[in-house]
Formats: sequence, structure tokens, C-alpha cells
Amino acid sequence: MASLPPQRPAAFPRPSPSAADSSPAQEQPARTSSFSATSVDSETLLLDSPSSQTSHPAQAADKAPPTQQEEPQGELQEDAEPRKCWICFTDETEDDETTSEWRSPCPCVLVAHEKCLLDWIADMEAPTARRRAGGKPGKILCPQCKSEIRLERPQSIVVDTVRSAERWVDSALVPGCIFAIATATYTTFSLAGTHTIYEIFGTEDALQILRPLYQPPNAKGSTVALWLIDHLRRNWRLDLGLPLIPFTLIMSRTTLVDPFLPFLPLPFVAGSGQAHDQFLQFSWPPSAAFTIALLPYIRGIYNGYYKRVWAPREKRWLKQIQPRAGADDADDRDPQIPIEDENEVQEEEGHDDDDDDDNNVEEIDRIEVAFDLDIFANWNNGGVADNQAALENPPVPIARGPAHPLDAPPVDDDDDHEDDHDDHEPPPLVDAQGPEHNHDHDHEDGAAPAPNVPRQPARPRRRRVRPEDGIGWSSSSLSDTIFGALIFPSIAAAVGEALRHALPKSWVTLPAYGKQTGFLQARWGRSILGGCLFVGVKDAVLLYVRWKMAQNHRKRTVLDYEHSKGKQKKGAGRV
Amino acid sequence: MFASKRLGKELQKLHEKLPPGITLIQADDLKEWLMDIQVVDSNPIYQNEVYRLKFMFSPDYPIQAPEVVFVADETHPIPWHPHVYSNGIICLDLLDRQGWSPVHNVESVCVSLQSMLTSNTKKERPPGDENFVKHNKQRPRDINFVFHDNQV
Repeated sequence: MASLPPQRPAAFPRPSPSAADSSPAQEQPARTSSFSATSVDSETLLLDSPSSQTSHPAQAADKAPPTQQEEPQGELQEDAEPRKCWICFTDETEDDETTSEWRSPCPCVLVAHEKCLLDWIADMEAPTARRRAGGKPGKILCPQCKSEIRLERPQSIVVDTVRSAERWVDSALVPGCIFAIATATYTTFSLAGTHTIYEIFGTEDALQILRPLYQPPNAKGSTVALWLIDHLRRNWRLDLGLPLIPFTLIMSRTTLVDPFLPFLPLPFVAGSGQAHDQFLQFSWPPSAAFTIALLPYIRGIYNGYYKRVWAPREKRWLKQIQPRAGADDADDRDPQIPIEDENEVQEEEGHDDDDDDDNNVEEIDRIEVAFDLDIFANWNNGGVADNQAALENPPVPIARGPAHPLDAPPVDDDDDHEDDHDDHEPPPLVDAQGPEHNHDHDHEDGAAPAPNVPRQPARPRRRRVRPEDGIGWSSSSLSDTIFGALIFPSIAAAVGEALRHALPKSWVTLPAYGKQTGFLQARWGRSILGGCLFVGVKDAVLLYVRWKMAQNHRKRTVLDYEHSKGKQKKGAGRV
Repeated sequence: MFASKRLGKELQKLHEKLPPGITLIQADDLKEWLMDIQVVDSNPIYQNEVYRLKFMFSPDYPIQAPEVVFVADETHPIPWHPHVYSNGIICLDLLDRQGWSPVHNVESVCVSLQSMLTSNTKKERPPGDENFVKHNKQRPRDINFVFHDNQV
């Protein structure tokens, strides 16, 4: 009956409705006759004595009150309104044999056919509906009183297990993918790092460094966890350091981690010498660890030097070979020209160039971003020597890393003995001719576009990504950076090997006994020097090319038709 | 069978008695009905206008929500409302899969829409209306509305 006490626990399927379907008259006897049966105890419990429910003596007392209670209630309900299914809207009077039982699953007045309820619940639980609800398996709530509608479902361990496994797999998908990708990256980086070590140190030293990795696992740690901890304790430097090698290589071609780069090798250097003493000696020749820890500083110094001294010139040369570069060259000589004007000129020029050639676009970005550098370069043109300029110039936005304090005053000196000797060969070369010639030939610059030339500057520009290049990240320059960084150790090693053959034997071979006496006697020393040499020579060559292109650009002449092909009929030429 | 039985019941009741402002226009079959609604109080936005609603019932009707849209013709405009697109599609949670439950029926939907209009003070369309109207090919029931506004 719909009106049965609402506090009846919803979980118990009701015994009464099936009997109540036909008529109230029939219902009563059926009910009373079944009363001693256990199925009724939920009603009896609620209606009078809760404590007596379980015991035998209660039965006699139970019999009377329920019958009295239910009869008037039932009649009242029948009189007022027949029960009406809130889902199909049919009421009790229309029930026939096919109609399913009535259920009242919640405290409120909503009653429904079991079949209707099950249909509705199935719809609510349908996968699409649940997914839209946000993946929550979801309680079924009565739409009116919002209390939960509970079902008794046959339990099957297999079904439950499989379904929960499915859910688990679903939720583990994304973390699993991330884990797989992370592991793959880690492994790749570790391999690249191992390769780098072999390249730089040579097989013997590399084996010594990597020895812990090749040792059979220690049987002492009985469980996997213990073994893992033990392994980590002894090998964390390799576990962490190897993948960091390619990362550092790539990052050192950008300026992203400049502030941290100098400190990165420290934890791996400090105290790493326990096993291999010779790597941690603080003497001449410096130990490998010390040298490598020094590399970021050397890099910072070199980059700072390059940026102060060469980048402005490079930019100027690049600018000169662009169409109509002569337009603002006239300004170069006049130091009084306000800076704003200069900027404007350059900007205008940039926009003009946009139309001319696609290759120029990147170039122009760079020029616009690097205005100040450019302007200082122009000052510099006035005959001030290079390293003085470095001191004199107002602070130029460079050297963001900790390298800054180091590189400021002694730009040239530092580079001389630390980095590469090569780097100084080109400077005089260019110094001798560069600025002077610039001025001599400024006028000759025509507005003639140089169709092929812009292509070239675009290429070498990527080789070292400087801060101002941050805006121009294209996928090709990205892959350039990454592959270049990863292949760099091999190049360094190759140059190192070349050095071994080129330099006197006593420099590059270890003494027969005792420790090494020269920096280049170990392979790593040669590799590192080789890498530095390579960078220096490469930059020098590229700078020379840049300068030469600018020179040649100015010296171009358009050949007269008559002169070259004077014998052919005149006047028909297109000139 | 399920739907027709229930719709028969509802129709019977609709013929008997209807709340003010709601009129049954057409219920020839058990698939598509037309209802007219009017805003009874004096909301200036909807004064003297009658809006026509089209109900479309699926065979699982009370279990599944009906599709309810406003239809426009010469005498029946689409009402201005921040949840009613100009093509008549209504963004109302009780018409969505999640908000619908079989306790609702044609009459209650009409009453809900009526009160939705009554309480509205903004004469505007939902954001992105133009775009939606131009590009929407989905049926209303397949659109995933995000119900962010429980006030209106």
C-alpha cells in the first residue's frame, strides 16, 4: 500500500503489494494468514514493539495491531485516490495480469511499477548517461524527494571484478601513457648520455665512470624495494646525471636555463671522486669533473663576449645585405642622430622587406628586437676599439646568467686562455678591414634587391639561439637546436681525435707511468678542447662569411649590356 | 506502447483541465504535439504574445525526455530569453537527459517554460546565438548544454 508507514526501511522488498493488487477484500486474509511468516517482521517492528521483534512471544501481540492498523489505512487510500505510477501514469485500477508489482522505493508519495522503475533506472545507468554525468557511477535518486532509490541486485564476483577492473584500466590510461612516455624519454636520454660519455672520455675512462651500472645487482638486498633503494643510494649520480647530459646539451644552446646551468654539474662533481681519485684533483692538469663543471662558465663568458663584440657587427652585416640597406647607412656616420629616428628607420625598413622575401621575416624580427645592440654597434663604428667598447657601452641586455659578473671586464683575456685560441684569429682579421670598409662603401649600396642573399643569413643564425631569437622559434630551428646539441659531443670527440694526430706526441700521450701531466693527455681533455675549438672556429667562419657577404654585396655592379655583349646588335638590350 | 499509454493518459488530463496561459493546439498522434503558452502576468517582454511549443516524443517517452522547441510562424514569434536560441531551441536543464525525469510531463514542462519566461527580465539571446543558429545541425536532445545558470 502506498500509505504504509514511510519510515519503513526502503531496502526491504515489500511483501504486501503483490497481494494488494487485486482487491482490498482479498488482501486482508492473505496478509493475516502469512503473518507468522518472517517476511512481515519489518512491519511489526515498526508498528509497535521494536524490542520484541526477534522473539517468539511477540507473535501473538503482533497479530492484532497490524490488521487493525492496515485496514483503515488501505480503505482510506483506496477512497482518496488509486495509486498512480509516476512513470507510466497509469493507476491501480488499470492493472492487469501483465502489470508488474508496485514499489514505493522512497519516503515520499511517489509509487511506481517495478518494471517502469527498472526501465528508468536502466536509462539512468546507461553508459552514455553516466559518462555525461561526469563518470560517477551515481546513485539513483527519487526525482521528488531526492532520497536514494536502492536496488537489490544479484551479485556476481566475476562481473564485479571485471567491471571494477575495467574502471581501473580506464582511469589508469592517462597516467599509464604519461608513465610510458616519461620512461621512454628517460631511457633515451640516458642512452644519449652514455653515448656522450663514451665519446668524450673514450672507452676506458667511460667504462670506469659507468662501472656501477654494469655491476651485477647486489644480492644483499632481499626485496625489490630494498634493492632499489640500495641501487639509488649508490648510483643516483649516474641515474640522474646520464639523462641530464643531453638535457644540458640542448639547454645550453638556448638561454632558457642560463641561471641554473653553472650549478647543474656541481652535485655530480662534489664528492664524485671517491671511486676515481684522479678525476677530482684540484691541480694542473685539472680533473675531468672540475673541467666539466667549469664549462658552463666558459660558455657564459664566451656568449657574453660574442654578444657584446660580435653580435652587433653580425647584425649590421646582415642588415647591409638586405634590400635598400644603404638607406640608413648614412645615419651610421652621424652620431647625433637621435635613437628614435634610427629605430624608426629600421622599422620601416623591416616592413618593406616583409614583402620582398619570406626568408627575411625572421631576420627582421630579430633586428627589431635587437635595436639597442644595433645602435651601440653604430657608436662602435666611430672608431672605438672593440674591447673598450665593451666597457664603455651602457649596459647591454646580455649575459643573463651568473656568467654576467665574470664576463664583464676581462672579456678578451678570459677567452684567451679558457676557451679557444681560434676565437681571436678572426677578430683582427675583421677588425682590420671591417669598420673602415663599411664607411668607404656605404654610398655604393643601391636599392637593388639581392634575391639569393637573404637565404644565407637565415641559416647560420640558428646555430646559436640567443635571447633575442626567442620570438622566432620555428620547428626547424627547434630540431636544429636539439640535433645539433646531441651530435655535438661526437663532433667534439672527432676534433679531439684530430688533435691527437695533429699535436706533438708528447702532448697527447700519457706518460708511461705516473699520472697525467698535461691537459691533453687524456681523451676527455682533447674532446673538450676540441668542442671549444669547434665552436670558436665555426663562429669565426660564419662571422667571416657574414662580413664577406656584406662586403661583396657592396661591391656588386650591374653589368652593362653593351660592355658584356657589345658585339651583338645594340639598342635591343633590356638595360 | 509505453509512450502511447502514458501520452494517452496525459492527453486525457490535458483535455480536462489546463493551467492558465497554456493551450493544447494539436495532439493528433502520439509523436508530435503542439502547445501554446502565454505569459500570464504583465512581463513587458512577453506582453500580448503567444508562443508555440512543439513536443516530439520518442517511443521511450517518459523515460527519455521529449524534444521541446519553440516554433515560429506569422502569429507566433520565438520569445526573447537568454536561454532560448532564435531558432527555438531551448536550453533548460529539465529538458536535458540529466535533468529530465519521468515525473515531468507535457503540462509541467509547459508550466516550467512559462515561469522561465515570466521571471526573465533580459530581452536578449544566449551568447553565440547567431553562430549556433547558423551552424547547429544537431537535434536539441544531442546538444550538450552546460547549465551554468540556475537563476533563470
